[in-house]
Amino acid sequence: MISVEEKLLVNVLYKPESEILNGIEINDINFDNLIKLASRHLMLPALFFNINKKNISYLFPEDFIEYIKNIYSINKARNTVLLKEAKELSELLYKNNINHIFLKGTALLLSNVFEDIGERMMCDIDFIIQHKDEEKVEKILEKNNYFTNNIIDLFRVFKPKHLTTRVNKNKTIRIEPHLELLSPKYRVVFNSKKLINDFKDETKTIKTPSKPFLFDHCIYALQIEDKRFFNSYHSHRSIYDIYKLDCKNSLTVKKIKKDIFITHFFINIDKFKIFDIHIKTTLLNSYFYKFLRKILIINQILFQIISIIIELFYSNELRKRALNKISNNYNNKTLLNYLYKWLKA
Amino acid sequence: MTMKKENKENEEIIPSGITRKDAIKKMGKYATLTAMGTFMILNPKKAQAQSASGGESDDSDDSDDSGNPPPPTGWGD
Repeated sequence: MISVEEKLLVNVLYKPESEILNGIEINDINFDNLIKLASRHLMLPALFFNINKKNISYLFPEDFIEYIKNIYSINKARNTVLLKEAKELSELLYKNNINHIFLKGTALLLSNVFEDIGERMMCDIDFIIQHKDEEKVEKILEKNNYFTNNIIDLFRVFKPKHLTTRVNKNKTIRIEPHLELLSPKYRVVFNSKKLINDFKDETKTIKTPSKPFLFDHCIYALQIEDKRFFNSYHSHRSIYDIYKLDCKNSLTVKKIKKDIFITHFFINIDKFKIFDIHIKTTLLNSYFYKFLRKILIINQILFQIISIIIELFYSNELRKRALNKISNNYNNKTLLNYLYKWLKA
Repeated sequence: MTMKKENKENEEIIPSGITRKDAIKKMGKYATLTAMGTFMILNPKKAQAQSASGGESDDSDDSDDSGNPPPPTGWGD
């Protein structure tokens, strides 16, 4: 069941002015709930931008418009700083001959996917580097005052998704240097090999991936990393990203059905009728999804257990920490005592 | 260049003539309803503090007690 506020949000974002009140009685709208909903989905700036663009501010209370206008203005100012700092960072990496490609929100903004830079709310500057440059990048960032307070793992079985996030005390936005696109356990599905050709190009500043890549990355990150494949929640910010990537012409039911994660994304948002694509779910399909989810969950658990065992086997430091934890907290439990003895041996 | 003054009650007055208290009151109704995630992003200092203490902030997934969906991280960010 879609609330009337969510219907209005969707209409404002995706429908032309003449269709915004289709199926909606404006007096039924609770504007407090609209603020809660839009802010939870990080969509207040996009909401204001579209209200303004479609000249429909007369439908909303004045103080509501004034409030979301403020949020939009602050966000726009922040994104201006973000773009400036992304360019400075890119220059720094370029000077040091580091091939890098911007990802996610930063890439969308740099690729001019949005009509206005104030529309999209963003946390940090994401970019990906090649595995071989990992140590060099760490050194360059450290030397140029990008500091981190996070503990760097001494031992890793797999390359992490990203290096520790860093902040330059003279700058505003934190940076996140990626080594991979998804966590290790999901890399079978989607990994940085898809960017090999982009990395083969000569090093330059402000490199962004192609739109089809951004489309795939957006969906896989949402469905797998943010676990939307395992529940029915949706993210309006991601839906808006996909909409703005404007893949409408290249999207066909046949193409979508080739990939289960993309299919699930479109099934999940079908109720909003944003895209002209309708994918029917059959009973067999829904059983298949349930089965697949269980397989993926079991895969995650097994992956986690195996990684921990390998890490404990190879790293003295981690083994000591584990031993201390077990001996401090679980002295009386037989199974853990057994594990403790096993680790000690 | 904006100048800040302080009155006897130690209250900041911004050039438009309203006090900080008034400004908060004015923003208040909707500000109290706005999800924390929005303010965390818009307030760089808070965002930096979060990142400094956080590690991989993008793995949070659970819905809150009220049954609301989790904040839409999207892209894992």
